[in-house]
Amino acid sequence: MKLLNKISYYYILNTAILFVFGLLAIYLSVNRIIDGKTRGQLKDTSKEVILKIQHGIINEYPPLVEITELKDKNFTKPAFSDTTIFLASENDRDPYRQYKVYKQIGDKNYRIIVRTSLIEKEDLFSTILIILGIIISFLLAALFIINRFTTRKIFKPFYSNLGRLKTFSLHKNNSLELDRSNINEFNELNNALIELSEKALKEYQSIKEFSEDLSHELQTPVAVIKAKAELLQQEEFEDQETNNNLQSIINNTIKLDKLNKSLVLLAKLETKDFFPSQKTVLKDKIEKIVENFRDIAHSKNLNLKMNLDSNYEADINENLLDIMLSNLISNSIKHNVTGGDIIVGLENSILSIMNSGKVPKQEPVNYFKRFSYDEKSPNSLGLGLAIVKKICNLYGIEIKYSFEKSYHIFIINFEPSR
Amino acid sequence: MKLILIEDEKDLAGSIESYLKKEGYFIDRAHSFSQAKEKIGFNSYDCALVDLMLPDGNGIELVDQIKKINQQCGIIIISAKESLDDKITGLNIGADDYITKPFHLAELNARIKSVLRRKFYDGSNEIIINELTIEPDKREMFVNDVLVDLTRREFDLLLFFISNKERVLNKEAIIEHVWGDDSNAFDNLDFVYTHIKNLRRKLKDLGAEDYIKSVYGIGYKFSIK
Repeated sequence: MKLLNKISYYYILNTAILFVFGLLAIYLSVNRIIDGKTRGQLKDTSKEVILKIQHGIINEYPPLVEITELKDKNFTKPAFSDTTIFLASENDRDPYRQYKVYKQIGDKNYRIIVRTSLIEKEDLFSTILIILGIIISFLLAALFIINRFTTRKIFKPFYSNLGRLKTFSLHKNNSLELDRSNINEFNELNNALIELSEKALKEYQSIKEFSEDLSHELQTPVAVIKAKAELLQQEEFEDQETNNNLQSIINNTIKLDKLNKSLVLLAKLETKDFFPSQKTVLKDKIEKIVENFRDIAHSKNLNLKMNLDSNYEADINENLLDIMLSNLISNSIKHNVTGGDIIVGLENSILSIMNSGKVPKQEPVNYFKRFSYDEKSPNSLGLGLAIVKKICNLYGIEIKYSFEKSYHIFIINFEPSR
Repeated sequence: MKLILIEDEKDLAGSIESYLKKEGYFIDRAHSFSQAKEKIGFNSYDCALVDLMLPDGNGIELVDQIKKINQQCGIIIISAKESLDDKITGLNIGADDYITKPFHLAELNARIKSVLRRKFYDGSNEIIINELTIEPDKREMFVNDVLVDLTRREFDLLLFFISNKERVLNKEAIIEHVWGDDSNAFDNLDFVYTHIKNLRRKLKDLGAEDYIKSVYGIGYKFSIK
């Protein structure tokens, strides 16, 4: 729930409860006052009637005044009660309050009942309630609007700063800037956030520099090892094992170098370093890369088919496009079977690469993770698809993998929004 | 030919020097920016190998200086950075080639030869080895004056072999040079064998000697001995 809604919700709930109690209190006190008044009036009227009887005037006025002569003197205490009486004139039963008094006047026994209509009281109540209801509804609405307005105003810097925090990114290398407000707590929060972001930026920069330096520093010793081993190789040792060992050293320096370069590239892709892009005709690029791998595919007796029916131009960094296509095509050769197929298709902005192969042993999503492979091959780093995925993410390119009818299928849409 | 090798890592400089010596070059070594600056001022070189990251200065400045003193000197930049920016700046300021660490010694050797060929024998840089005549610029090759029909890859292979004759070349260096380093990552490298077999057959069919020998467990060697 949004903060503003939460505040309004509690505000309205609490005021509504208060108003209900307020209404109840008004109702009870008004009721009490009216009750007191009616009782007083009824008593006064009964006294008046008795006084008139004492003077010999028996003036009945049903249903408001009823005087009955009793034969026996079985008197009860004077009492108030509520009743309804049928009025022929209105053809309805109306509520009345009555006061019953027994009195001996002269030698006669009388029962005197005086009544007053409660219709007026009910009318009065409903009128009061309606007026109060309207006033309260207006008050509630006004309070809601005022509350909403003020909280929105108070929280304005909070929301604008929240927006800035959301777009804050370490690799943009801009320090966080937040709006000041006249609320101390918000300013304290801002200061804490700015301090935190500056610390994070510093740490991030130093880690980035460290990993870049490290990878460059690593290249020199690797170069030394490789050069020394190649020099030794020139000796053409009689001992075959020595030759094999030297070759293995060279192969591993090559692998180390590739690993290093791939990790640097992944780091650069992750930190979204700037890669200048240009328009590239995808079809030409694909043909060039496939051509590079044709000899290798041929040696595996692979059947290479290309259906490139599109002159689509991708707006992408050329090096990254090269790396991405190379990784995908070389994958389709590596994970193929002898005499298998590779089918490369391009339709509009959608590139598909299909190759025959063994059933995958992992969940498809795992293939895009670093260092994931079905079978550990001495020449596979397990970074190829992770790099492809990162490049796709960078440009908003959609990539999907599936395995159908013993074919590995990659579908790459360069413009998924279209 | 007189070369200067500017590289602060002495171990690497030593290995490069040992490998290149066999080509008959005179090689000077400088291990720092100041040392290199001094040597460039006093001597004239045909080719300079420059490491861009030196402890006491930037190699790019040295490239500038060499260009000012001696226009003809070939310059190859050796860098630990693969970054495209460095490569572009390097080539923009007048370097002839750019190679990243770690490299194959045979690759460096081939690059030096290519730079020297371009710089010093413009146009008529034929390579003649007994009955073989190679014209690198035209990408043509003759056996006893008969043109051999070679594919692009076969010609690249042959030139790489000839640039590194009497050297053992491992398969990895050959693949990287001819097919690019993406092709190194395959378990099965038989395609190299197929191409070399075809090249040997084409030369043999025209009556040339079989100079390409396989070295068991390593790769190949082009030997006229």
